Amino acid sequence: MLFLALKTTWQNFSAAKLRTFLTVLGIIIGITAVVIVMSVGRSAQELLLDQVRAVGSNLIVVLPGAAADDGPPAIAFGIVTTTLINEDVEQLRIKSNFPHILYASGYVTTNKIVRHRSTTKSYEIQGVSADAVNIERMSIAEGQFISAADEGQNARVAVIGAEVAKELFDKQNPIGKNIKIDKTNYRVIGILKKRGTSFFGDFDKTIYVPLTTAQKSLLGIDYLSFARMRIDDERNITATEAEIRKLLKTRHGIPQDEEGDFSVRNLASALNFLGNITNVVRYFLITVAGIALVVGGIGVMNMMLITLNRRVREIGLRKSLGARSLDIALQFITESLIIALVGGIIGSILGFSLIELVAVIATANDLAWQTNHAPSIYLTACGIASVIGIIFGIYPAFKAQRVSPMEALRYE
Amino acid sequence: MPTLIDCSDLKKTFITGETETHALKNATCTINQGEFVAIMGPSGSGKSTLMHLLSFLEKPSGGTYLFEGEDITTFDEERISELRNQSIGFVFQAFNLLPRLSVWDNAELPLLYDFYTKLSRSNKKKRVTDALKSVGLSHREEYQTQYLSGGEKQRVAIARALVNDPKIIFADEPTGNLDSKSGLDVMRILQKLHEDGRTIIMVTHENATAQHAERILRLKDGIIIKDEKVENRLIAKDIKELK
Repeated sequence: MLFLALKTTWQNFSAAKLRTFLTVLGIIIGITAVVIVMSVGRSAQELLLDQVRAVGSNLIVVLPGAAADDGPPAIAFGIVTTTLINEDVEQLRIKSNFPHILYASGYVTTNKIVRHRSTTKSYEIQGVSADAVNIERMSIAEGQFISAADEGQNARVAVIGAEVAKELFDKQNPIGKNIKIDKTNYRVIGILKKRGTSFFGDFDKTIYVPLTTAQKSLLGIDYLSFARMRIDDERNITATEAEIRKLLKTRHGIPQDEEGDFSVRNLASALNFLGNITNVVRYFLITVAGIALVVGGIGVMNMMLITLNRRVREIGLRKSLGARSLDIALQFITESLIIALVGGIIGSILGFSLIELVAVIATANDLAWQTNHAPSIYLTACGIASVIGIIFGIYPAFKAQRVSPMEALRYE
Repeated sequence: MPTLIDCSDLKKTFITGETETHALKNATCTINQGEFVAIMGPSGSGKSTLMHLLSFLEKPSGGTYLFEGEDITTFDEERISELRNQSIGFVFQAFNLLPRLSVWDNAELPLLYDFYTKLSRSNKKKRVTDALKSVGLSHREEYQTQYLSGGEKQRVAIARALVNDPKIIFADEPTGNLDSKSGLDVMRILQKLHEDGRTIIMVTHENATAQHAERILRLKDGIIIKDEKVENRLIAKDIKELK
């Protein structure tokens, strides 16, 4: 019976190639979208996790300005808070008070035009303390990182990312040479190893200068953009966060039972926040892909209903030759299923190709992208296509099996 | 010869809205195996309706219909499908071939729905080959039917009607859409099938065509008014053109 349905299906598709193709196209688009969303979504999450693994999840960040610890920071709303200062971070470095904090650094960030000889470029400048090299797990390719002494003396020294070195100095050795930031010379004392882009920023295109130098010479401020600390163990994060809140409220003159003028976050919660965002985006895209699939399914049903109207005589004839209602229904369901399944397979192949394209683009942009071609993605996609085919084939099949053999004669 | 069809007071009423049309009233007849019967009558007399009832395409509104002694009005859809597939072959006036299929595929159609005889694939193939040979279309097996002449199309339809080796062949105005030469060819084939022992029941409104049968049932206003033996029967193979 199945062979019969397949044979008849093939005959009918051959007879209406363009119409069949256009119907399949609807499913192809939907399934391609599903495959890409599923695969790229997984790859993006993997990338995020990899970046976190590289930096370590035992980081705590203190952001100035009141904000819910799992909500957007105050700076996101354009609120500049000046209460978080260098002395706060110095207090956090006191081992006896904060035994679990290994390293702590205040940060200020800005973008400046940087020049070396005739080459001029805009780079992100970060003012950091000596601890930043351990907080961010930076690797020095050559020279050294900023020292506590540099910070103490407001030294005009800079550590540059690998890409900065390449762009400003080409094949020359930058160590000991000067670069001009805001018309002031900074001596290059270190070059970082190439690291690539992450959601922390592009390390390779960043220039690090002593925190105090950046505050006084580049920005003219005495507060911090944020502070970051590395904790000895992830299990101590919650307790340390509580201690940090307590200290900062005391230092900022805020009662302990009131909301602080800062927010304390850790990388795990930041990851959760990012994970929530990526999940929302993912679900949104899956919904869009789902709508595309439903539209594709309606296309299949539409074609089957048009086909039914065109084939009333054929169905009547088949019944007059002995076809049972079940045979006719099965034939319609098979046709609908095959349209959807072929769409699913082609959509999967197309999705596979586009995922590879995304990987090429991501890799070209220095992202450690890993394509995800889990068989479950393609099996799910083809499964969804099949279910769509069957569901949207039921109504036309129901109508088709009710055609009377007399229709073969009435249509004469 | 054993009785194949035995119907009495067969009725068919079509209801459209509040209008009732009595297409067939009290048709009573008996047809034996091996007969060649023509059903004649003017337009609207109920001849086609009678044929549709006899060939299980429609259910009667009243009366009894015994096919080989069994009351078919008690049969379910499954059993009716089996009867359509196994016991009858149908030749339509408009051929009713599937245009994009080959001659072979069209002739094979009833075998696709043969879930009853368990014929092997090679036997099914032989059935199609023999049926096409018997209507003289062996050389056209691969042709798409849309490219055939009317006469050839009707011969494909006859091959399709023969392929399941049915007890009866029903022919509804089989020469109605054909020129006289092709019509004569069709009548030759039907008479040959009759000679070979088949039961043929043919609807026609043309006297000349009906004269090829052995017996004529004449209908008027939904009633069989005359059941007569054909005197001076025409033998298609002996004549040059269908009048």
